[in-house]
Amino acid sequence: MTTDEIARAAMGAKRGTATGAVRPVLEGRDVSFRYDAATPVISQWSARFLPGEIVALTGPSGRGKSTLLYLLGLMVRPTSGQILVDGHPTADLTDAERAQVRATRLGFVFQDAALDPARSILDNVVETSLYRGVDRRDSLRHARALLARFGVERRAESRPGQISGGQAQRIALCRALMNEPRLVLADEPTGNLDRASAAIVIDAFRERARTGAAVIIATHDLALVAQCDRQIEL
Amino acid sequence: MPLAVLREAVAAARAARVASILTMTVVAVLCAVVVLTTGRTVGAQNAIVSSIDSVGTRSIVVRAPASAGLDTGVLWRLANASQISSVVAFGAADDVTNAAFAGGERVSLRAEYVAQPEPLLHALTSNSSGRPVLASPAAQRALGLADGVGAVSSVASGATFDIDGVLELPDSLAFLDPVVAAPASPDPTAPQAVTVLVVVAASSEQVEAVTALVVSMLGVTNPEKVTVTTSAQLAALRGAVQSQLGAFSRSLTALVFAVGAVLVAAILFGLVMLRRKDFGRRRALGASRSLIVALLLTQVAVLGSIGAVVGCLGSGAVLLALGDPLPTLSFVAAAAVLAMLTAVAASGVPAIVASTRDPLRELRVA
Repeated sequence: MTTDEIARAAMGAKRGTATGAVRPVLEGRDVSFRYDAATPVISQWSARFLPGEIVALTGPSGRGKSTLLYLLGLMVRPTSGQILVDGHPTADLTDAERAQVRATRLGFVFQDAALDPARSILDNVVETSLYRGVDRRDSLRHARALLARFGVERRAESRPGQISGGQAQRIALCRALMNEPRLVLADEPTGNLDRASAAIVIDAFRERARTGAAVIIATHDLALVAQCDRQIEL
Repeated sequence: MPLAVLREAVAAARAARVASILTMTVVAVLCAVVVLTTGRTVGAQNAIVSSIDSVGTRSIVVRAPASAGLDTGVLWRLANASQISSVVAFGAADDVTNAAFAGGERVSLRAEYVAQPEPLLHALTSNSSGRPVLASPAAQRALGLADGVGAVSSVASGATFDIDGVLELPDSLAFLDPVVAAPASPDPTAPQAVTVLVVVAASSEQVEAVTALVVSMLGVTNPEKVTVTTSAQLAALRGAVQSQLGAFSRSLTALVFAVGAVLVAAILFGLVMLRRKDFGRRRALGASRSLIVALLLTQVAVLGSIGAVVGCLGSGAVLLALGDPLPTLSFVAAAAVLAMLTAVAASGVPAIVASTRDPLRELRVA
């Protein structure tokens, strides 16, 4: 039994369901990626991510944690292998279809928050509503509610340059949760945060996982790893 | 969705102020240069052509003595020809003098026949004869009509005619001066003799064909006594002016738009390169390539429209202030639309480059 299968069995046990009945939110099958022929980054990698689990991707720098995260987020196509979202293969999806999956089912938290410095915090949070094709007024209401939940509602009209790193990461979290994603992908989400801000972020992940979403975190932060359901070492 | 794209494009344009101002400025300058150079040339061309036309580039004058047998029947024969704008015929000269006193200077009065509803020389009025009797300025002076109105009487028949105003003769009919024109109704069943026939072609390009048609339709008994005068040389000059100035304008416009397109493309490339991370983030968060292209093209279309309006209004104001000929409104509108479309077309490649930004490369933190 692989680590992945053990974890899956464990997740099934947690929910009191039969192991075979739980369909992974995300699955990688023999995924390989290389920038060029001489430098393979990911090689024949396989794993499943079940609903409700928080998984830490760990390993030394340069092992491809971030690259794997971008592969799993359908931002990059693997050189070979298959990535399945909710059991559906994604290799044959067009660019527009992959973009639609990213916009509607996935939520991303980038290492440096990646907010648009020229737009307000509120505009940053509702950005994905355009990509999802949803009503902007509804999105604005939802965004304000999320900002309030993470204690940054008073910064709604500020610019990213006027807020702290911890606030920026909370706002990036709000943006990632706007579409109530089935899968949250986070790249070093607590790398630049103090203990209190990091706790807010992990609590948000745990709350999202409780709704049946899978959360995958690439991190070096051992405190964060300790709070995950399982760890995949690269 | 289109409204959401427009809103986002406007917001993105406001966020990238320097690039937006540069794009608007380039399009405004593009429009201004076109209007101030090509537009000015077109205005001058129109003025030259109009001045040539005033000399009578489209007119064909047939002169025939009474013995040649030309009559008003020709008016009906030419009435329905589509290449002909108007036809007027004048009867033989009848000497008249000022009716107010005896022994005044004699001036020719000619009956004026038209078959078209619009007369060649002057507009219809509501007097009893249908159209007013008019005298050329030289005739008015000779008759002693100081205020332009009065009455004349025929030396031969004693018939009296009230003169209602001034007849401005075009250059093509200057040979009739001094003259009093008395409108008369041609009777198709009883043709009356005429000595002068003036035909105006619908366009200067058709003068040659219309001349041939008129000659074939004269129906005179002594063709050798008929003289036909056309303005074919003026028509040729008009054509040359239009063609040469037109070619110059087109070349200049093409050059200006090409330079403008290169500048807009350079600005957009700069914007895309500066905001690589922005486009990478958009891609990562779910923007499709086509959406990013649409966003950038819409952004440029909005900025280009504003720039085009500013450029056209500004250059129009400059031309007005200088008192130079203004191009037509349709020319200015076409220049504005073309400038905007040029900017949009020029931003196509930068937009595609923006849409292919790789999130992995743009967002990864080393």
